[in-house]
Amino acid sequence: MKKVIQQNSADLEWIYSLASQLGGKVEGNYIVVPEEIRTGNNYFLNCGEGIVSLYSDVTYNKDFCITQKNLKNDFVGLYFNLSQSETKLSFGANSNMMGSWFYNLSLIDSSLEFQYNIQKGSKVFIFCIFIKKEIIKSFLKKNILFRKKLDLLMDPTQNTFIHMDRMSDESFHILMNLQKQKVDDPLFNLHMIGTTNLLMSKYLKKIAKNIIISQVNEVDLLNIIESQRYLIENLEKSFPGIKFLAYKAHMSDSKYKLLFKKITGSPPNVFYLNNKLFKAKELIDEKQLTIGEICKQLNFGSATYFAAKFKLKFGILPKTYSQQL
Amino acid sequence: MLEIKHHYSHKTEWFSDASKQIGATLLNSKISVFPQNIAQGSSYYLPIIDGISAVLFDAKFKKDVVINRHESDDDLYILHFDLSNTINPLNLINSKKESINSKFKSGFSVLHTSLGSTFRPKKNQRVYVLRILIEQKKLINYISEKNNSLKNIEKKILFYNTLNANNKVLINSLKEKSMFDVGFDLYFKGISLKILANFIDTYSHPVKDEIRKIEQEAIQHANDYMLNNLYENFPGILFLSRLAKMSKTRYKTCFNKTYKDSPYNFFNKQKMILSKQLLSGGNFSSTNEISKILNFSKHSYFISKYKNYFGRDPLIDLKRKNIINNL
Repeated sequence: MKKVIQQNSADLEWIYSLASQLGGKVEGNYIVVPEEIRTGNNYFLNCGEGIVSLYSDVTYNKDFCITQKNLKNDFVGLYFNLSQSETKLSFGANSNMMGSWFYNLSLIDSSLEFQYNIQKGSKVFIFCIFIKKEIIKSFLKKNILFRKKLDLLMDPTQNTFIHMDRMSDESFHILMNLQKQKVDDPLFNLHMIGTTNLLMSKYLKKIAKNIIISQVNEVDLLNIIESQRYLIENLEKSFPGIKFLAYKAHMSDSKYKLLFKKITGSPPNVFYLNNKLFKAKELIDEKQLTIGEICKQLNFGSATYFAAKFKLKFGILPKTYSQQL
Repeated sequence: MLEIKHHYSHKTEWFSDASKQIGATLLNSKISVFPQNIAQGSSYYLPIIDGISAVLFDAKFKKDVVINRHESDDDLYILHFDLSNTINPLNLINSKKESINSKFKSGFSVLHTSLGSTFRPKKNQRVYVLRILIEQKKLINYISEKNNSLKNIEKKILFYNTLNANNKVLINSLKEKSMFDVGFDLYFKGISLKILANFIDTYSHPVKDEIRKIEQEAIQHANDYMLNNLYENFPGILFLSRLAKMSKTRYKTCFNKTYKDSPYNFFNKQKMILSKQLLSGGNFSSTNEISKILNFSKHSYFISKYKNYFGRDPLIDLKRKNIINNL
């Protein structure tokens, strides 16, 4: 097992110490690490004053234990974790599983020390945003209405805080879009700053809506996430119905509907349809299938229905979209 | 008619000047809310990163308004996206304040600050215009990093294009949001950068009509048929396109792209290559026999075609083989 101490901050000083611990070096905006340790892209970028983001799409070739112990106490970290394989995040006596199908969003104060345990062969996709507290404070000054909510979130009776959460469906698609871009493309910086801003805006919106899922029973939460996973993996069927999903999640119909909306932000059928439409858009982007074929593959009742829903979601007809691509 | 004069730069002063002229109230030096008697709505100016800023315009006008943008020396490119229901007229004006008759009919055009323009928003409809201002140097840098040919941009030529579908989707998602939403400035920033990246990407790699896998297989299938029936006449485009389950035009364009030739020419070429093989095979005593077996209507036609392809008389190829056989 390889042990690494990571000392992040909202400026770029920490990168060099991390790279040297991993036996690698910093080249441009990349952290280059020998292949026997991990492979993939590790890219950091300064996204404006006091904001640094880190894009990491890697496969670990060794067991890893990353201890995060920050030198400075002047920032917060927002971690979007969309890894297919889970990583274990532990702090103090508590531990949580992170990954696409567990908690996938965390807001962690910089003074907190925590550990990531990553197993050999894990594919990890993390997007981190480190924001200086000053920036948040100046933002709060402008948005007085908003202050109470963020204050509540950032100071729960103590100075150190950690929030585990699920990201919204939209943020998920924004990140998926970023993952499709090539990192060595000269336009990647634009995409990355853009994504950072979009994600921050989505997160603020989430806080404003006051959805904090930590109040939900953990077993229930995992069941809901499992049913989310079931829906996404079965996009080519028709909607299985609330009864079936609720039965699968060991809940009553009404509880299931309520919890699903609380956690994902939309009712199950809307969530399902939205993901279908995003999938359809992806298929159009690939240019291998015609609109009719896509419509059939994703099990839409009729082409007209598909076109109408697509237009409602993206503001453009699928045919026009494919022609103007 | 109300006339508003302004120019673009990366400093915020122009925005407050322009808001004063229309009598709008300025909030946070970013949002200007138009007075009710002129228009219902607001506009938003946001510096994004160094050298890039964006203006958003979302209003329903009740009076005729002309917005004149004067030329300035800032060397900025203006990406103008118009996503209103019907596109609003945009004209260029030269230094003598005469309007040049070049109407931009599509929802997207690229302008430069060295030439002024007039924008006339239509009355009683939601006018939704996004403009991204980017320094000339910066844009050229990005494009030349992507692709070496700069074409129009370097020569300062103004051009217009159809709006890219991805950008349309992005702007539509922006259109759904209110300017007074929580975190709108962050969202606006993010979307503008994505749009800019998309624009540069599509500009440096113009759209290619790619042939899909299934189509390729179908073309191959029709081609196999042609190659197996070289002794017959050309089966005709209609027949081949039906075999490939495509329309006639789609079949022809797909075929042209894969083989760089028309189906008829391709067929004839293959036929001629076959005839050469037959001639050198030594199983025939005259060229007339071969022309008949290959279904040519006239012997002389076959000879002239053969001469066209190989530059010599078919008899020469035939004779040589015969002599060897006789020995």
